[in-house]
Amino acid sequence: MQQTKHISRYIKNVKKIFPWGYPKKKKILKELKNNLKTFFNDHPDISYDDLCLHFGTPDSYIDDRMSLYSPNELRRSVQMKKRKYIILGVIIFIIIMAFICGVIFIKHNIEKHSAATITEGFIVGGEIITDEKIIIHDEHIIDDKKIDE
Amino acid sequence: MDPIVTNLKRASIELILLSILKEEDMYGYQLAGEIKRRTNDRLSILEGSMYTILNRLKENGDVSFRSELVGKKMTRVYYHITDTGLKHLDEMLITFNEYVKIIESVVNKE
Repeated sequence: MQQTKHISRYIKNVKKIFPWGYPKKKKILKELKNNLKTFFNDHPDISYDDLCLHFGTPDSYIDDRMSLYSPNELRRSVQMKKRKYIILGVIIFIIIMAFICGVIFIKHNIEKHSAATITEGFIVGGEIITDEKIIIHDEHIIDDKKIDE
Repeated sequence: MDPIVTNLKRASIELILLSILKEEDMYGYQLAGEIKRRTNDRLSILEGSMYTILNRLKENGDVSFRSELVGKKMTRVYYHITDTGLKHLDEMLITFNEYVKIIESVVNKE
């Protein structure tokens, strides 16, 4: 339906130019949709260009809507949004650092418990016999060889 | 449009809308047309701006609205000034008239 198409197009254009940090974006867009529907009740077959002419362009709508906020409200809203993004940035940074530290810790532990060769030597019948045990991961003996010297 | 006129319009739009609604309930397009007619086309308000103000007046309790079925499918939203709106309008008129006198005392200083 043409009306739905014009409303969607108008709202899409308003979303593109909606200023960052301004308060109550969802509420404003919902209100806009209702206002457009009300407008179309009185102008059912209007074209998009005539819609902008009588209802106002997306730019003028945003200008008028924003003028309803006091400078104090706008300042507070932008400050709050900034704070939220900073906190989110810090949390993401902490998660990334924790991940990197975790990887380093695990890698270090793997190297520590990697192949350690223990050579035991003993004398049997005048001969020196060495026994090499290759131990990996908590002393599982995977290779046990006797070396006669 | 002259920025002074734009700012004055923004400041007085609530007063204008409530003054008209005091006389009779109207729907949006009718309100916009009435403003143009009374001002001899010297003042016109975009309906988008007007609906925004009407929404705010509704939130403040100055205005209520009702939907009426027109024809088979079309509904029309009629705006009505409440008792709170009438009181608010009286206060705004007093403030407005005082402010005009103040400006005149400066601008038309003799």
